Parts: sequence; structure tokens; C-alpha cells
Amino acid sequence: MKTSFVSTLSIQNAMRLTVAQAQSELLKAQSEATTGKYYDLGVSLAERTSQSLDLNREVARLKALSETNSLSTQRLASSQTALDNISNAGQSMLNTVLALSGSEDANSLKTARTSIENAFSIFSDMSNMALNGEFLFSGINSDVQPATDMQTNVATAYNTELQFYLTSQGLTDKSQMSATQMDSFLTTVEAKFNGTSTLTDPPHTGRGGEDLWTSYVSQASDTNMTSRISKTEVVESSTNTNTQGMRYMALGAISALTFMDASLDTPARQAANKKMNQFIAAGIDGIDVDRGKLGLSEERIKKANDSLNAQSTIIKTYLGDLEGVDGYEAATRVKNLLALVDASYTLTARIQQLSLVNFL
Amino acid sequence: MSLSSAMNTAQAIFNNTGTQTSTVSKNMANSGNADYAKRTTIVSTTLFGAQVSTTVRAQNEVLMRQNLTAISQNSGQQSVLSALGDMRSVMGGTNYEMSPAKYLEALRNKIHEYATRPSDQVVGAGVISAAQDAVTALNTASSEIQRVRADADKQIEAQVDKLNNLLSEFKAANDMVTTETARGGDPNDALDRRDSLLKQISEIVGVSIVNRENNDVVLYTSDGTTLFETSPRKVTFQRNLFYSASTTGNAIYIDGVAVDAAKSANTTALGSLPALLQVRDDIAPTFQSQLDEIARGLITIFAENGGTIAGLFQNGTSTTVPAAGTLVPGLAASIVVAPNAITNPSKVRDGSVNGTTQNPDNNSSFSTLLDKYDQAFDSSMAFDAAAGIDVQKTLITFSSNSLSWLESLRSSATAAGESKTALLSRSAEAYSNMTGVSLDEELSLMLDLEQSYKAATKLVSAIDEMLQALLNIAS
Repeated sequence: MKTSFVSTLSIQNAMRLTVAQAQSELLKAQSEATTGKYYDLGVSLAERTSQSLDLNREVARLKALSETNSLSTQRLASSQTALDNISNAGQSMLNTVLALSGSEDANSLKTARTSIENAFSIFSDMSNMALNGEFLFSGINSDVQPATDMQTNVATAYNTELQFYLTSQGLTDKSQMSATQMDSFLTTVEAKFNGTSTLTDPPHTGRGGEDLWTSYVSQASDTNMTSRISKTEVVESSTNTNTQGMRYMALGAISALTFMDASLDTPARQAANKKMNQFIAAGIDGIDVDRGKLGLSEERIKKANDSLNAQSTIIKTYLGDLEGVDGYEAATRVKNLLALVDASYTLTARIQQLSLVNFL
Repeated sequence: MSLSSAMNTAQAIFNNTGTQTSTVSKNMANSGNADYAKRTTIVSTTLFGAQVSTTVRAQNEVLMRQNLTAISQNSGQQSVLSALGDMRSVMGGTNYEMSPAKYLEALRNKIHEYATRPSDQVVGAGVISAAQDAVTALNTASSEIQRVRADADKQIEAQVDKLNNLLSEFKAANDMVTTETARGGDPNDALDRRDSLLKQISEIVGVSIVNRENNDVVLYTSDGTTLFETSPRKVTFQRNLFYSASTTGNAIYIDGVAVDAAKSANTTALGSLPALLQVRDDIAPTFQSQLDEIARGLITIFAENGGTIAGLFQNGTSTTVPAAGTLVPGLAASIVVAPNAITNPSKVRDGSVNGTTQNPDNNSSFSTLLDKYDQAFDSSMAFDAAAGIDVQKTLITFSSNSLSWLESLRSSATAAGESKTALLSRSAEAYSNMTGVSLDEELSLMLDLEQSYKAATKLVSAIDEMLQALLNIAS
């Protein structure tokens, strides 16, 4: 007959189990108190794990977006600087042409030509500017220099047109041109430069039907580079040398270099002067339009960055709520568990000593 | 009554205390043995005073059965939990660093970077290396999941062997019990042995017990298959040495009947065998399907020629794009980065890895396709319902939901594991309290015995003196 309903083994096991359980709880609480996150995220979050993953991924994605945005910003800023320089060069050409208006002095004409040449070469240099191995004004064809030897190529195309015109008028030299002829020639060549009419063969052997600018001067693609700046927004982050601004700028410069010549009749030169004025002004306007477009993109990127930062902050806050534990609560738990383990040790030691053998 | 009969009674006391002391000391010796049930000596009155009639073993069948069930449940749950833990560890540490989801995210960010700077070959090479990482993650995860299945298979084989051994030992113990009981001997030691074997058998497969004449028992599994009746039934299993996504594991047969796999994370398994079958045939294959669907999603997203030919990712050497929403078993193991893309990353930009280029002018900053790939990660696609999660989701969400699926299983399995372990320790405690030895009780019994022995000696010396006195009269 069994009279006592407790066994020595279960007394000892019960104490042992209590200590073991408290210790494993202690391990978790300790880690939670120090890291501020759940000890085993997966077990605590269970099916909400994907939420935590999605949010973490979102943060990384927003970070990636703002990193690539800084690249686009850099590209845009460099493009702006280059366009600014081109615009300034245009302005100085315009000033030269205006200042010269009516003057027939060979010396001042020569000085003016030098100044135009300078401006033209700044224009050419700036058009071929590169950043991080990408040519800024090549559109998406960014590994090819957009306008190699711009001055030479522009001059070749222009002179071919001029010679063809002179021959068609039965003239041998530009100094023989009348004001009407000058006007008519410059109108024709303007249409060629701005792309409204195409090249003819003759005089352009093998280039019939092509656009003068892209055939002779520019290698750029009409398609600009684009950048995704936020999850929903894509902006153009570059411009190219095929814009009207670039074309007119070159047309103005080469016309000035060709017709600022003392050998020309005064009326013809005045007619030419008037046209040059228009060309260069159109060039500056065009460049400013390009700058405006890029400025708009810059603005969009800035706005996008602001919103990316805001989103990132919101998500991080929510992530903290999702993954985090109450530090105070965890710390309190550690304290309680320590007390529990302590008590268990004392009790175990006492109970182990408690035996009838000691009293016999 | 005479002095000599009084003497006989005193002798009976010596006899009884001797037997009782031996029982008490045996009890004390086994106070730390969980498989030992306390013995009690029963003394009954006869013509010559009290006599030891029998030694009884403390038994409690209800508690014993509860304990056996708790053992089975706990063992099944722990098997499922440890397999889930194993699968979880394949996915890396706290932040799932090794999971396909993480590598997809990295790949996507690289694609975005490349879309911003398509002319930069270094960034292009970065895309390829991210793609290779993603492929490696999928391949590794797939082979690890198959390893989990193969491990389960190996464990099943070991458990089946063990079960067969236990059953033959059980036969020996049971035979001993029946013969001893039948001839009125002491079956108690054999009963202890048989109970201890039952506990071990319960760890492997849940049993229900039917008692018969002479303490004989018949064992059925919880499914109702006969496990032991007079002689052990044969448990057979053929192990598979190699596992791939399309391998189906062999069934375990007990007495010719296949054992059913258990279900759900808070597993229905009684014993480790149904639990291991569940891991091998249900949990691991489902996760494999999810990996396969992720691989198929990758191939689909990067498909070229308007989605008709595989691009950056392909299935081994085949460039066909798998049908939408249809699982391709084992794709996660065979997916590779297209060799053409590795030799020339800019083919990814142009869409000409296996297809025809979308960038005929060979413009180095062509980003249309790259941006399309970038966006494709965010657009939803069809997944096979066999993968057990979503049927219409973005690839990236699908991949994180796959982890969510795993973690939610592990979470319920952990909770269930804790409660089943608690139940086991409670029932073991209750059973032990009912049948185990209490050292203090035995010691106090020993004091009783001591007293009764002393009384008997006093009795003997009193009778001796009385007889002496009688003899003195005569002399």
C-alpha cells in the first residue's frame, strides 16, 4: 500500500525543471533587454515576418533610390554648369556682333572675329564635356563624344553650302554677294541647320536626304538619359547637342566668322549682321530652354528626395514598433527571473538536505 | 495456545521483517529510477500470526497511458520543430541574410543602379554578380531542403530499426510477465522492464494498450494497426539515398499497413515516425515548391523578346520560359545565370542575352529595358497554388511571404512544443508521484520494521526465560 503521494524523484525533477525553464527565459529576456528586439523574431512575428521583411526592403529600396538620385543630381548640375558657360559664350558673341554693327574697320573686325572664335571654342569644349566617363550631351549614346572637332565640321558643312550657293548664283567669291543674295543664302542655310530641310547631293556627296547637323557635326542621340527618381517618377537627366539651341549657336558663330569680313559690301554685311544677331539670340534662347528643362528635373529630384526621406522615417518608426520590445519590460523580466532562479537554487539546496536519514 | 506456538509467531515476525526489509531496501535502491514502480509487501493473518502473502507493485494504468500519450505527442512535436529550425537556419541569421528574398532585393537594387548608369560596365558586372548570388542562394536553399528530406528519411530508417529491436525486447519482457503471472511467481521486475520499453516505443510511434489474461498485452498503433500481439509485427521501410524535388519518399509499413503522415504545425503526430513523414512529404516539399516558384518568377521577369525567350536567368541550358502560374519542380536547383550575360553584362541592358537586341544603335545609356526589369519586380504575377501561399503577388512579396510561411509554422510549432513538453513533465510527475518511491516513506517503514524486529527479539527472550523458569522447577 502506497501511503504518500509524492516521490523523491519528482521532487528533484520539479526543481530541476523550474531552474531550467527560468534559465532559458532569462537568456531570452536578457537578449531582449540589451538589443531592444525580440529574441527570436521569426517565432514572435510568425506570419507577420513578411511585414518586417517588406519594410526592411522598402527602407533599402528608398536608400538605393536616394543614392542613385545623387548620381542624377551630379549629372544635372554638371550639365547646368556647361550650359551656363555655353549661354555666356553666346552672350559674348551677341555683344561682339552688336558692338560691331555698322563698323567697317578691318582691325575691329579682326578683333571681333578672334572674340567669336574664342566663344565658339568654349561652346565646342563645353558640348563635349564628360562626367564619370559619360559624355553629358550625347543623349543615351553616352560613350561617344557628341561633337568631335565641332569648329572644323561646322565650317566644312557651311562652306560647302556657301560655295554651292555662290556657284548657283554665278558668283565666284562671297565678297560679290548682294544684300538680297546674302539674305536668301542665310535663310537657306538656317533651314539646313535647324533641320527643317535636308542635305542635297550635290554638293554633299553621299549625304543626300540627311540632316546637316547630325550628318556633319553631332553624334549624339536625340533620346536623353532618363532616371527613375522615386518609385513612380522618371525624369530626363540629360540633354543633347541636337537641340535647337546648340544648332543655332553654331550657326550664329560660323556665320559671324564667315561674314565679318571687310571685303564684303556694306549692305550685304549689314544683312548678314542682322541674321547673325537673330541666330545667336535664338541659340541663347534655345540653350536657356534646355537649362529650364534640366532645372525642372533637378527640382523634381529634390522633391523626390524629400519625400523619400519622409517615407523612410515613417517606415523605420513602424519597423521599430513591429520588431522592438519594451526595454523596461524586458529589464523587469530579467530582474524577476533572476530572483526566481536565486530562490530555486536556495530551495533546491534546502530540499536536497531534507531527508529523514539525517535524523535517524 | 502454548509457549511453542508463541515461539512460532515470533519466528514468523522474523520471517516477515526479513522479507519486508528486503522490499524496503530494494525500493530505496531504486528511488532514483524513473522506470521503477514502488513495491509493497502485503502481510495477512494466518494461524501462526501474520505472514507475507505477496508483494504488490504500485500501478496506475490511467496515468501510465496519459504519460505514454504525452511522450508520443512531445516526441512528434520536437521532430517537426527541429526540422523547421533546420530549414529556418538555411535562410541565415536574424535578418535572413541567406534567403532568396534578400538576394532578390539586392539584385533589384543593382538593376536600379544599372538603369541609372547603363554605360558603366562595372555596374553591369555588379548586376551579374548579384544575379549569381541570387542563383546560388536558390540552388543552395534547394539542395539544403532536399538534405532536410534525406535526413528525415535517414532518421526514419534508424527509428524503424530501433522500433523493431524494442518490439523484440518487448516480446521477451511480455513473455516473462505472462509466465511469471501464470505460475504465480513474481512478475514485477519484468513489468518494470515492459513499462520502460513501452515508454521508448511511444517515442517512436503512438500506442494503445489492450490487457489480456495473465497480464499479457496487445499493442496497437494509434492508427489502429497491430504492433504486437504475442509476437512483434514487422516494421519495414526502404530508405531513399538521394532526394531531389521530384523524389517521392517510401512509406513505412507496420504489419503491411502504411503509416500516415501527420498534419499541421501543431502536429497531429504521435511519435516521431508520422512527424518525420510530415517533414519529408509535406513541409519540406512545400517550401521547395515556393523556391521553385521564385526561380520561375526570376526567369519570367527577365525574359526577352516580349517574354518568349529566357534572358538573364535560364533553366540549365534551356532558354524556354516556363508557362505562367505553373510550378516547375526542381527549378530552384537548376536555375543558372545565362552564360551570354556573364561574358557580356551589357547584353542584359540591350535585351540580347538570348533574344534580339532592343537597342539597335548600341547606345550605351539605353535604360528602357533595365527600368522595365526594375519595375517588373513590383508588378504582380501568377503563382501556382501548389506552393501553398499566394497565387497573385509580386515576386518580391512572394519571396518574403515564403519566409513568413516558414516562420508562422515554426512559431506555432514552438508554442505547441512548449505546451507539449510542459504536459509531458506534468504527466511524468503525476505518474512518478503515484508509482515512484518516496525515500522518507521507506525510511519510516524501516523504523516500523526495526521496532517490530526488536519486539520479536524481546518476545523470544521472554519465552526463553519462561521456558527456563519451567525447566528450573523440574531440576
